[in-house]
Amino acid sequence: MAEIAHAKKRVLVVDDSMVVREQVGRLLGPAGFEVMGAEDGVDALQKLERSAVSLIVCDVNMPRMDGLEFLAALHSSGNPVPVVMLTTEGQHSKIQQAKAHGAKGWIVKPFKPEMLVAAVRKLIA
Amino acid sequence: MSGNSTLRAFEQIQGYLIESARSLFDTYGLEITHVQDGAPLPSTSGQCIAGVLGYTAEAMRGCVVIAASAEVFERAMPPRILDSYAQDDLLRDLAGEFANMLLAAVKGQLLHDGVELQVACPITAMCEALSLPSPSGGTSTWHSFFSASGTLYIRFDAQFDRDFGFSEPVPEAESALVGGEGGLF
Repeated sequence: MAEIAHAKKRVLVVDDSMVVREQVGRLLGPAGFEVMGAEDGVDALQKLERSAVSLIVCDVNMPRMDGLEFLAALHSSGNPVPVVMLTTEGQHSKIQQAKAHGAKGWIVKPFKPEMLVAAVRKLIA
Repeated sequence: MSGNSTLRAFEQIQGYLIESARSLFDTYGLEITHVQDGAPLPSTSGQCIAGVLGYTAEAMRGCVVIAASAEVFERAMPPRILDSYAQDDLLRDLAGEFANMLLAAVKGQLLHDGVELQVACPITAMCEALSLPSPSGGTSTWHSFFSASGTLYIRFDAQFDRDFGFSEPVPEAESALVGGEGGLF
């Protein structure tokens, strides 16, 4: 029960930038969430095999497996974890692609900290 | 497109670059002032960090380069992060991320000119007395920006095909989101 309760508040941040992973971690940590990081889609899928998370914050442009490919893989696997995209991309076509694969939101960098925290809180409510 | 038209387009892109750079660094708490177009080859002594990001479009390709001393990137680093990883790794990473965000901002502007950039993943470098000669082909301009922590250098390189030209906005130009925007669906 404790592990399930703990897993309810774990967020996976998928971004090839360690600064972004740290920045999001420093925001969500004090907001009551445990944060783990992955450097791209491949790393994220491997980590999800070992750890349950309540939400994923995911970049788009990453090496090996980009965010949209990761989202499609997650969607295909039937994993229901909500995903918010956090990216420099802002084009409607990519946003629609993410939405089609089940993404719950899209935030463009440089992001407003309060926007990200509010989105995470709402999705993990 | 004529050579003069290409040069005018390049000048317009420089305007996007300068304004986007000011806005971006301001968001990270570092006020920068554009000092000079066509800055001389930067060869700063001491540790210098550069972020480089390539792009391609239908009739245009090149890269953006951001270079500055470690002190400039330290000043722009989000709070409390420098105590978590090796400092050099974080500073290089930040340079790459700034190149990424800067080019994304320029990309958003170019959608309104009918140009759609595809962007690579950034690479970074760190060394003493970094020298970054401009490419021999294509069009390239250095910009220098003054900041309280030192000088920031940004360069935009572009090679234009003969048929390059600004045109009507890309259909999704108006609906594209920019930095700071977004939310839940």
